[in-house]
Amino acid sequence: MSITTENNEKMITLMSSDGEEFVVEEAVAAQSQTIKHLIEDGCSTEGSIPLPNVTGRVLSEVIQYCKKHSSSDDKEEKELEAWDAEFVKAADDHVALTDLMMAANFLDIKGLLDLVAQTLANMITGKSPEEVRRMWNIKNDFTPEEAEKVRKENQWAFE
Amino acid sequence: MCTGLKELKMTDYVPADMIAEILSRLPTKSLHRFRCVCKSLHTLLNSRFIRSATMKRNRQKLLMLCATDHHYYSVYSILDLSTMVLEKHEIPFTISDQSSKYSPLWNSLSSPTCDGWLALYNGKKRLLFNLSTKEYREFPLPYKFRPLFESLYVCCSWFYYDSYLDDYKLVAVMTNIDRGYLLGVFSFKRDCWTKIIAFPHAKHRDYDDFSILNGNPHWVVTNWPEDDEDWVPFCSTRFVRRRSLIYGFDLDGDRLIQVPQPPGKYLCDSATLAVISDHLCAFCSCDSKFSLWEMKQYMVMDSWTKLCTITLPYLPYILKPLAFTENDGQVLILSEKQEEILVYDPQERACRSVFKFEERLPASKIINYREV
Repeated sequence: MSITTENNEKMITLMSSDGEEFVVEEAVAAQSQTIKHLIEDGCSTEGSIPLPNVTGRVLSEVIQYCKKHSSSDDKEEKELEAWDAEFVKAADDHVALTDLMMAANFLDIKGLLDLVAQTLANMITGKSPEEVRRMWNIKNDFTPEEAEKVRKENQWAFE
Repeated sequence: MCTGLKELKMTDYVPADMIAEILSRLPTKSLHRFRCVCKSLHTLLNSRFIRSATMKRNRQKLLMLCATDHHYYSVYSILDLSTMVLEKHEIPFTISDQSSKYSPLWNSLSSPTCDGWLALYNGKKRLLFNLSTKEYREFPLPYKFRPLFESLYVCCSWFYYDSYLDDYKLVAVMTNIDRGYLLGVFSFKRDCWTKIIAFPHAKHRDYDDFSILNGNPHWVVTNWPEDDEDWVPFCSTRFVRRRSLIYGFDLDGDRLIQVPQPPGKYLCDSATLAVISDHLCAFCSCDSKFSLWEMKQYMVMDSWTKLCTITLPYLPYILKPLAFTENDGQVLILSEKQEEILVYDPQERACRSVFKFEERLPASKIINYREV
């Protein structure tokens, strides 16, 4: 469904996996390469664009990011960086961030994917294997002998 | 997409390519440490996906090998091109190049782009040395070569990563003076030599200085002029307007390739071919000026682009481009004769000396690589 607003901006309706609808300017939605291609292929002319992989909660965050990044120009780079830092801080933990990253990947928004993946990487950079296991809820499935061997091979990385 | 599934294993609900997306942004040390987390991460961190992704993000460095005295090598220096900090390291074993008549010690040095492994040969032992971990191990000779080997020496070797087969390969050019040159490809996955062929040597003088691009060697062949008129005086030395040609060898097709030259230019006498940022670079000379050219697209003559022109107060033996710095497009150049590393600044359009070496440091002892 395309609607035109007073300032002649074309609007696009996006529908999340849980049926929530979001009406956004085309320029905002086109930050996503996936949506941009759908628009170009004429998929947005009738009704809304369904996004079966993205929940409403995640989609609202993605839209927030796209709005900010479509309205800022290059001069505001510093301000945008600060905004990005606040944005990832607001997503409460690594589970929420992971969902956001998968959405960024599906929607093909490179800036958001880089931002979130780097944040997730920073969260574990200095951690020990045990801390990573706890954080990502992974079981250590090495036998004691295997664990010893792998540890030995990578001993330098613990020093 | 799942939310709030904290009780689920991260590796179960997040696809492997997304986990790789996170992991590829980690520093090397963390990557090695996390191999201990579980089997699936161990497999993932050994995969080509992570290797190729991290390769691009890694810092560019220069490795410089220094002899402690004339024959013993025990020290190497690493220059980090993003910080310009020089670090000195010791090699944990002693190598002497007196041990062999042919002493191809550092000649056999390869570009350590594959997990930091360096191939060394000291005339007796062939060793692989890891720059990150400082581990070393011997690598075997081809079985069929054994009876022949005592008369063969490795004059150059290099690694490359075969992304199609997900295999690391070591290529070595070997010779014995009478028998000509052989080229061998050693597969790390199969742990054996997979190819041994005759290598066309095309009148090349210094076999120890190949430029490796896409795993294939490239070198300059100089045809000395027969006519004396081709010689021109330059800086009180006879300098020659001679035709140097760039050759390459395609390892997949086993064929010699002639690479196009910069349009209308000759490669200069003292120039060396180099590979920087996956492009071939070469110096051309005109009067006392040296211009650095870069082939932006492989095998396309028109893509040769002039990067800078430098003037030096002396005629260098060898002028070799080493690297571009990442932040401001400066060019690092090695000048053999004054034994110094020069930096060309495009803003000032001038060169200045950044490092001076105490002893002769041939171009083949400096390697541009990315930290792993």
